[in-house]
Amino acid sequence: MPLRLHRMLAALALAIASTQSSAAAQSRSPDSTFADLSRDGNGVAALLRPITAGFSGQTAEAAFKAIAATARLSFTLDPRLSGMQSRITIPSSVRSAAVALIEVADASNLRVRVSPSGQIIVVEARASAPAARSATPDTTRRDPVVLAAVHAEAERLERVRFASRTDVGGISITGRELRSAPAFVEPDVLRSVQLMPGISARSDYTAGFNVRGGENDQNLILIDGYPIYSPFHFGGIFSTFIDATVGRVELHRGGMPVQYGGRLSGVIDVSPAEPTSTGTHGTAEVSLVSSSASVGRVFADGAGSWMIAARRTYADAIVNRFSSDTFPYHFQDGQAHVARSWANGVRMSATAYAGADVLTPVLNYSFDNWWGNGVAGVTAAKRFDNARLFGIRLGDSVTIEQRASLTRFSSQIAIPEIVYLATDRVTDRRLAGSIAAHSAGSTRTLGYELSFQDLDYHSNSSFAGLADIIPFDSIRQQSRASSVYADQLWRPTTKLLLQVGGRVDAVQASDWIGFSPRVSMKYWLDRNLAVTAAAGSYAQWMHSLGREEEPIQPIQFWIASDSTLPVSRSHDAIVGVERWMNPTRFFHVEAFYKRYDDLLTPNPYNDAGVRGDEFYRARGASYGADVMLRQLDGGPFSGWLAYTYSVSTRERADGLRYFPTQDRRHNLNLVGSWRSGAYTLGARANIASGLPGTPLIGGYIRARYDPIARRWTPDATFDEQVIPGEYNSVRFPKYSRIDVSATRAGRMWGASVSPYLSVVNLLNAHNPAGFLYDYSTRSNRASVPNLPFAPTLGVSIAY
Amino acid sequence: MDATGVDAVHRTRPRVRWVTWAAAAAAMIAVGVASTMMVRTPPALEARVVTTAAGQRRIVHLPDSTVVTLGPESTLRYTIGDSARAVELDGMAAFRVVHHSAHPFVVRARGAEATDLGTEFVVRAYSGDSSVHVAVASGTVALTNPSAAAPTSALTLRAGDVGMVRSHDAPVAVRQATAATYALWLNGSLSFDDEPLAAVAKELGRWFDADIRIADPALAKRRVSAMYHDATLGNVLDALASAMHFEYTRSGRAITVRPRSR
Repeated sequence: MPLRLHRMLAALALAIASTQSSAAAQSRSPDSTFADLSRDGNGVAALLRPITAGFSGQTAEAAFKAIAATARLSFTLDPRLSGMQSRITIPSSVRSAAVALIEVADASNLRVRVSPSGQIIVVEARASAPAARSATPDTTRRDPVVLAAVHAEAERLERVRFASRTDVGGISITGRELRSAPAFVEPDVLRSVQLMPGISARSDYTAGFNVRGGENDQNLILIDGYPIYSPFHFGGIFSTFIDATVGRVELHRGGMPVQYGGRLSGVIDVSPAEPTSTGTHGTAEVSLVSSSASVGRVFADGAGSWMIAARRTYADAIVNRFSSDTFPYHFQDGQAHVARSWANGVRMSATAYAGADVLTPVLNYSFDNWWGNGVAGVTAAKRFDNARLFGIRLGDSVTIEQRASLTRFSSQIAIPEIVYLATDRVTDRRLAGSIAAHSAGSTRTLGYELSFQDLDYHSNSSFAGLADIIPFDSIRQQSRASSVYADQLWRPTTKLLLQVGGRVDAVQASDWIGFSPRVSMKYWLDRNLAVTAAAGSYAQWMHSLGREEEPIQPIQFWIASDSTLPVSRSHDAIVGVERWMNPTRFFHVEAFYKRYDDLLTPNPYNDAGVRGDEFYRARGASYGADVMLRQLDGGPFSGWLAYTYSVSTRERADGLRYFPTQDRRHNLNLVGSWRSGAYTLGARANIASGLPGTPLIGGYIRARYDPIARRWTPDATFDEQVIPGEYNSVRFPKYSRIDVSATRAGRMWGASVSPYLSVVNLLNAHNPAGFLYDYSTRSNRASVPNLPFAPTLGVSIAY
Repeated sequence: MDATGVDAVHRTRPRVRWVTWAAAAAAMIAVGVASTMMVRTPPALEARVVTTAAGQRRIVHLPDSTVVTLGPESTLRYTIGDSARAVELDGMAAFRVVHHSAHPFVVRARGAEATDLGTEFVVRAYSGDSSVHVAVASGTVALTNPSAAAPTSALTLRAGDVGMVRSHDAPVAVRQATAATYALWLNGSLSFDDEPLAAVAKELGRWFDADIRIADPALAKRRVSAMYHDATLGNVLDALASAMHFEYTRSGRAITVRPRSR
């Protein structure tokens, strides 16, 4: 250990100066300068320092000392306090020093207090209550209770990430913060993600999204780390994520870490919420179209937790009950999650999801239509302290993780009356594992992933118009991909964090092997300011047949790269700056450039009988910059400003150059949530430039010559024929929308009851999602509007 | 003998000898100057003493390039010109020694001898302490006690080891201690591990140049574990007072600690 001989001088001078100053000789007992430690670190930066802490049978005293030493905290404790010698077991994980201290204190019936200068003391749990309390609880009061900082730990993890990860292109946000944005009908993770910088959506009718100019099938969507292929309900208006189950969302808009593969542009990983307090707790949400409920509890003295949730729309039931008409559609889904840790460092978790959309027969049609997802995954991990392999010490701790999952997407759309049958089945079996060695200032990771996909797609009809949204084809494939990756995160100096890694993917059906290097760095100019940079390569071998230009894409239909369809590649470079103004407010700005090779864009003229013509090959680029100014949750106001400037271009192999449909140049989102007493007001304002579109410049009707009548008559076997203009050569008008919401927190029968009103498109701005052309009589263009003024009601219940 | 001739001869010979002797003298002077320039005269030995008061630290650069960081209330004695490379310490100091295999560096502290074998280490040898502690940060140190009652072999300490010498005992390794703890003060940190409040007060007085008195014997015996980084005396006293439930009065250097009156 180097003996640095000069750092003390300044501090020592201060110390000496403090002793020189004359102080009043009056008795001083400074308890009032100390406050109970909260999970947000009481504004002390050192307490937000990320540490890896875990204890297995150590005394609380040893645990406090270890945390303080790791985070370089000043502390004072009385080792003779009862509780200080309690043996505690807390699973190892990365968390802030404040949270780690609180966990140890909670486990040993002690209390941690902190002074404004950052001095930590440990006292008896009730040694000095901050204020006298009434011995008899006031049961007459029924004022609403607003628990503003329930999730403060998770929210402050952004600061933890700032200090411990390069995190280029990454955004982490809690379900609670996403919920703060006004919602259409009900809160939805994927819709809220669309409000983030670098993210945009084709229309209001899709929960899918485009990341920094990429197509929307280029995003890897994970539920607790397990893939889900078509995570939408109701034609894309709702996602498959039940709001109550959403704990935290990790979003990568580029610079993806090596463990993520198979997609070119983005990753969204939705971690399930895990109950943390004792007893059984639950939520219920009733909106205009659906109801959802969840229940969960911890077990094994907090070492484990479980949660189950379910949701169903009920518009069909209401209409069918009170009207002679029928509403032929509903969707339903359920999710379960269980996690358990043991004292020996083992942690296991499992997540299961199942959901289905059902379109029941209506009118004279004999529908037999349904589609839905199923996901089941299990993860086992074990931590080893001071692990050695063949006598070589691997690190302070080593974590080995193994994951296995099964994902299915199935759909069947059968309408015999128009001779239509579409089926699509995707089965994804996946094994993945990693070993990560953690030591001071360094983490090395080695991992693998094996994925097996069985794909069976068939769609055809005599009704040609359906091909726009459900492409006609018949494809059966098996895809096998094997990947290995390695990565090292280390801190060469206190100001520099480097992450260097690479991933090798082998796709059997394409006989393709590719290497994808990933590099990222963060350099701190000072404690609150850092510059970042990243570069990486990515590969994608699963592609959606869905056409980007369609404003409504009810389902994504997937096929795999094979001998006729190449593996797509992208390469990105990102530079950025992140600045923290205070412990709960920061901004970051990132500039990006991304290049695509062998990109596959759906071919609208594909022949169902010809294999390999499903896509055009293309190459392209996206570049731009995005900014985010964010106020974290925990105070009366939270929210963010997100602005994105982005330019995307594509060039097809046949020479066509164009701006892709997702080429939205400017996109500004302002999202805010204000708490005042029992009320929470939310608002979102969005203004964005228009998307490219293809105009229709004319139409004609095919005619057949009738030799008997000696005249031309319209041919009934053909629809009206249109003459398209140059592809994506015009722009839709700009998009603007203001949403507002109000929620009142109250209590009823011991539960928290929060009714809410949400108004989408308050000013009823007319935002065309597309145009319909009619040349049958006079030339006529009608716009297909995005969401109009739409108030919705609901109530959230938590107990 | 012709007096003139003789004289003539005698007048000639001395002139030749003078030139010869002058040349010889010049050559010797040249050799002397050259040799003087090439071979330095050994300097006279000069004893040096460096002392720190309470609240002070000093960094001392020894002639052999060894760097010593002297803790508060400490005295370092060494000799300029002494090829033996030995110093005497009373108090606490950190040594960063430039290693010479032919001339090992020796620290003598209250009877104990720590002989450097190429290393960085900390020696704590306050006269009020019951033992001398040597903590090795890097390299190797041979710890001996020449004043031991029985002949003993040297205790070899490697990086991370802590050795201890009591007055007439053989040096022993301190298993439960970590060397890093002994070097914390170099980075502005103080550490106390389950120590009586009286000892903590004494150490704080040493580091912050204060006279801390504990008015209550029972309070003085209460145990404290603490660590302070770049803290002021006010911060430390406030934390101690809140954690240990005492109050204190402060007047200049004088600080009096007593149990809370309520």
